[in-house]
Amino acid sequence: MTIHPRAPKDPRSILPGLIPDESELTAGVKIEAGRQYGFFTDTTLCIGCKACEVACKEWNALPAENLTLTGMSYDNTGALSANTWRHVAFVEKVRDGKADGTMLMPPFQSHWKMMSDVCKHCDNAPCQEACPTGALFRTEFDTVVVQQDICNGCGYCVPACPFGVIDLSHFDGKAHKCTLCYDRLKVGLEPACAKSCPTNSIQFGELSELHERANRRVASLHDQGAHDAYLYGAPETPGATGGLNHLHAFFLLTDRPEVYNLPSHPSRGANRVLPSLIAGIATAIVLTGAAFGFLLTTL
Amino acid sequence: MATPAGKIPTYYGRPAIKPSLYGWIVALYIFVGGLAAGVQIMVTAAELLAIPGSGNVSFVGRAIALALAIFGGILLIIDLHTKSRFYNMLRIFRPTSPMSIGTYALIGFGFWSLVAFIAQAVGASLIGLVCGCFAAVTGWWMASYTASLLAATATPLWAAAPKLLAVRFAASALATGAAAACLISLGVSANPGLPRAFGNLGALALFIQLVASIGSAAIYRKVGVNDPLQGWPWGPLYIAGVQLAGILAPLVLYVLANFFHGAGTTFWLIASGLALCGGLLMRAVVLLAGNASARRPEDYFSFAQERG
Ligand code: SF4
Repeated sequence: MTIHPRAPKDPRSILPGLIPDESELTAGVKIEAGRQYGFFTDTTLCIGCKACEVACKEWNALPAENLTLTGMSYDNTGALSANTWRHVAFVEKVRDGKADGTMLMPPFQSHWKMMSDVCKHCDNAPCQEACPTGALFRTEFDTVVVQQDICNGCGYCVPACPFGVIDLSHFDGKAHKCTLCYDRLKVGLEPACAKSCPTNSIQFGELSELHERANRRVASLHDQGAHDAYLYGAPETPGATGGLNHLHAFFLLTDRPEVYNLPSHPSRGANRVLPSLIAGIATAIVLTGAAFGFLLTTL
Repeated sequence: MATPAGKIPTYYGRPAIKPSLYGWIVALYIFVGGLAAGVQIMVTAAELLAIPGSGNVSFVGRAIALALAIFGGILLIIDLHTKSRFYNMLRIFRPTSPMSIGTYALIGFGFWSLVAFIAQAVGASLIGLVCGCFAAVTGWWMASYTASLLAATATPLWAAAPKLLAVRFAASALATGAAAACLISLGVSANPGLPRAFGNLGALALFIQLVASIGSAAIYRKVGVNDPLQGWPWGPLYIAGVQLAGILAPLVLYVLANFFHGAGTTFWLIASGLALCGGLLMRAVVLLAGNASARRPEDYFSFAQERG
């Protein structure tokens, strides 16, 4: 990490208000409307501290839920939901599929893989393409947000999301998900989760720059012998498939996507609309024609 | 990628996607919407050809189609989780969203059905017929879009065979419409040719539905998403209730009605009743088994694999 040249100029610890373009100091990027922003989540750096989950709940004032133990791992959050917009997955590689219980995983990883999951802010976002009210829209930062004053809770975005992210709240009957801190971006603040991440596993930035950074990271990991590292959701990688051009929140993974509860070839549901409509309407037309035929025999 | 394809891992067997929140209300709507469209198409065809006795049939049929369209709209509003904002559906038209397409299909269908019914009621039968034709054409959308709606989700059982799902839904809409038209003709028309024609059309529609469902089952097995349709509780219900009692039995009865002239009426009555129940049950099983399939990560991951 380098210290931004602007930082020494403002040494005060109590501030009168927002620092203009604070994200420049915390994430090295200026936030401007009309550009594309996103998250690069490097799972090799994740230590499972859940600071992102806490920061997200705090900033967005999201209520607690599931106050029980799942009993399956240190993951007691379980899944993303209407009230949980960051979720750290804990994958414990106890046996690695070998019957004798030996491990294939290098010891430095302590038999754990962790990943902070989040809304992918898909390019061609299936949730947004499904939304009949226009409540789901694409912001000036190219992220995907639900407008709470428009959503009427039809719930169609819920099964439309190929990553199981968006969910309906039974408290208010609206759909909720990560906004990529739309309110913070508007005032030049880095999203809460990325800012709170102590290992920089979650990196916020401009998408093109993040892609370059991520590719460099993969190359460097390959050089260090971690040949299983690859990107998920960057253009032309797994996750950016089936009509999804790329995911604004993309990941560096070291095992197959399903291990992290991600599909290896998600697809855009809108591509299935026209073929099925045509097939259905053609069937209806043929049968209407047949009805004329059968009715004519009665004359 | 790291590991070659083998058995697909899951994350502690937890769901990878969220099931829809749709339940029996939406299943009932899909049935009701398809039935309304089917009846409208059937009676309008009969009236267009000026079949003797079709006047009464089309009047009753139009009344039923209109009532069902209104009922369907109410069902959809009831299913919203913020009902007071139902009119937000009309803020935009989004061609990528079958929910949006369907909103306008239902409104168009309801509008033309209403005008057709009123015109016929006041004796303007030509206007009634023209508007009935418009309603019937919007009915083609009504009969099909619900399949697009399910197919455009990530739910494996709905998305794996989008075209065949639409063929099944549209065929079922026309089959239930023919069944209703058959019952109406038995009730209000003296022409025995009408129930026979509707019955035979019903048989053809059921046959298409049967073939399409067998074809889609083959795709589901290939893609690896068929388990919810085989296991408890949807498996037995699907085979016994939908395929045998809801499709095959009425199909056979409709065909037999052509040969046993004395028992025709009984056959038509039973076959139409079975076809109607089968249409409702088919939608319910597809919907609920689909929700079950979304909860199975193995099914979703198997669906979301690259295929050549
Ligand atoms: S991950 Fe799901 S909720 Fe997020 S943008 Fe994509 S489709 Fe929408």
